[in-house]
Amino acid sequence: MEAISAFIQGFAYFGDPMVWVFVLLGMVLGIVFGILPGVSGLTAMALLLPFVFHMKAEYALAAFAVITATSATGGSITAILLNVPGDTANAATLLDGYPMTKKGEGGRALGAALMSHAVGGFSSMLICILLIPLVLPLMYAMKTGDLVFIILFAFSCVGVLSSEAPLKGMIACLVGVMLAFVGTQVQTGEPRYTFDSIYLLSGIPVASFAMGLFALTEMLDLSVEGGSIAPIGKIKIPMRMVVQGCVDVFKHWSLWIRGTIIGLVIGIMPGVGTSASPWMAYGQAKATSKHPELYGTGYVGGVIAPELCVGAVVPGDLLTTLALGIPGSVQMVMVLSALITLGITPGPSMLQSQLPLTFSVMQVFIIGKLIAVFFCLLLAVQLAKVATIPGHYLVPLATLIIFVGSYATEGRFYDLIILLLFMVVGMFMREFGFAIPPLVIGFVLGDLFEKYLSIAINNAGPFFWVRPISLTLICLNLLIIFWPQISSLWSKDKKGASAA
Amino acid sequence: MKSKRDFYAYGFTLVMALFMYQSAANFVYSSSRLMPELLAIGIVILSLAGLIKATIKYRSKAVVEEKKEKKRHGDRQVKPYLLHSLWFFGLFVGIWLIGFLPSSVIFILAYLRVNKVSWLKSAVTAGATAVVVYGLFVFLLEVELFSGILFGARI
Repeated sequence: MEAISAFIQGFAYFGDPMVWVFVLLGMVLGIVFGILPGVSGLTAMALLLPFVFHMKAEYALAAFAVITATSATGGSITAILLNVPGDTANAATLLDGYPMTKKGEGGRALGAALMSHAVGGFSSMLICILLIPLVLPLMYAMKTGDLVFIILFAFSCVGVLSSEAPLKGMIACLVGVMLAFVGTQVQTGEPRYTFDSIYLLSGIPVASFAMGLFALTEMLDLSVEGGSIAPIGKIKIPMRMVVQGCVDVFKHWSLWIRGTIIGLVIGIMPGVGTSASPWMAYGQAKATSKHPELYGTGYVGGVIAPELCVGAVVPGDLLTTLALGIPGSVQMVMVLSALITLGITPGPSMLQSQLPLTFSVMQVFIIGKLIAVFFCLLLAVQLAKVATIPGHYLVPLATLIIFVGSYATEGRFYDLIILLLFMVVGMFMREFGFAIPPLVIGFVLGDLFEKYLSIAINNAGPFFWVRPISLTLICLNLLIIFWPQISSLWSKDKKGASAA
Repeated sequence: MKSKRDFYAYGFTLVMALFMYQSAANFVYSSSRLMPELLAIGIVILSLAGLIKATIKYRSKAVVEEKKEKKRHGDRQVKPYLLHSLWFFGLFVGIWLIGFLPSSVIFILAYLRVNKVSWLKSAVTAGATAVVVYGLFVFLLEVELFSGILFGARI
């Protein structure tokens, strides 16, 4: 009952016209940055992060939710029309999308891809909304001690799963937690790792830290590699074909169900990342198809399967970020940073105290996605031309906004030093094969981890973890940490059995 | 060479963790010390494991193959990154000296000219960008931008 009333209250936020302004702003940023090669929705979020300080929570979250919803939408346009995926998530769409354009069926491919996006996102988010009332009693049953293991679970997942080198992933995560300790310790008031600097007493600013690691390193990459593609010739997209593509999605209803389930499950699993799921959906669709030979030759099913999955993966990711405070992807790290900047603690406490806002984020996601798909269907060719904007126009403009934004957050010049410092750290981390997301997740959740741990020990003593929820989470943690060993044992057993 | 790079990377994290442990040992309260010390120990253990792994790999046959591969393809170019990062650092120094507005015009103009954009386009883009950024932050968000130490601003 509480969930239903909160769901209805969530719609009340849409009565404020400014929410719609931020929905449109998020949509434009998401689509444009999704289309531009070399940058992504992540850059759009990093650029928006310094403004979060000046916004109401519902405005900021509306913009961030819509960027997550739309960044891969624009990417599918360039993947199909220009053979250049705007976002890594759209890479699997190339296999059949571009061959369809070459066969003169570009409109059909676009219609199918964009409708798949809308349908995948809508069905997946609907399931997530329906899941909330089910997980709510569990959230209420959780105590501070359990939250320690939820954060630990996030560390294990992101450290072990998201990185190609798990050891480096775990080190990056622990260093991130260490960085969170810079500043005054809340309980004792003692300065830690401040090196007698007054500036560092309040800790490392999240906005400059995240912008330096993600946005500025991305700008440096774009500056070195360039980011535009050759101007496109005339492409005609008849509306009749677009409609045919849209109808195709509903004809392939089994792909719809499977793509949504794969996307949702992978989205909910923290650390797996969104870029792998479309390939899984594509492979699964091809393996179960009656005509697997058609895949890769310009078959509409090869566009629908990965795009459905791309649409369905983000709601699951958003659910774990909001409900558990565990970000499943780099984009969700930015959402988490925005929440913390706004003074909202993500996780079970957000579901308990900010349930209408949580529902509103999910509603705005669906609305933003549907509007974005509608616009993309109408303006696909014009939007594809955005990809031809040369990178050397984008780099100085975006860099300037990052610098000014970093300074404007708190009006401190030293924030610019932090910004540049973490650009250098990001460059070195990439050069030496360390994944950046574990560092940021460690940093963002490090403070909370220490706070919850000390509260849990003070309230329940050193055996605070002897509770069913905590013990379950400990088992899950161990499972994640030793997953590589378990899976290799499993595959050895399978091989042995098949050899016998 | 990957294993050599790994060796340096783990070596660096090991030294950093030892420094963090040493610094944490000087904290007055035990509750301030506990977590940093535990984490530093964790990083030390993981770094040592990484160092051992990198050493074993370095001595293995795989490295011979890596060396051959390196000869064939060469390493990733670091020099362009260093050169391009100079612009970012230059912008920072410019802001420190003369403030946001003049340095944004100068550095955007310089960036576009280096990328062989015509004088006219570069000047228009630099001017328009400065106006947009100034309008957005100063007028809309009422942020007082840093005016540079040469113009009397204090850090």
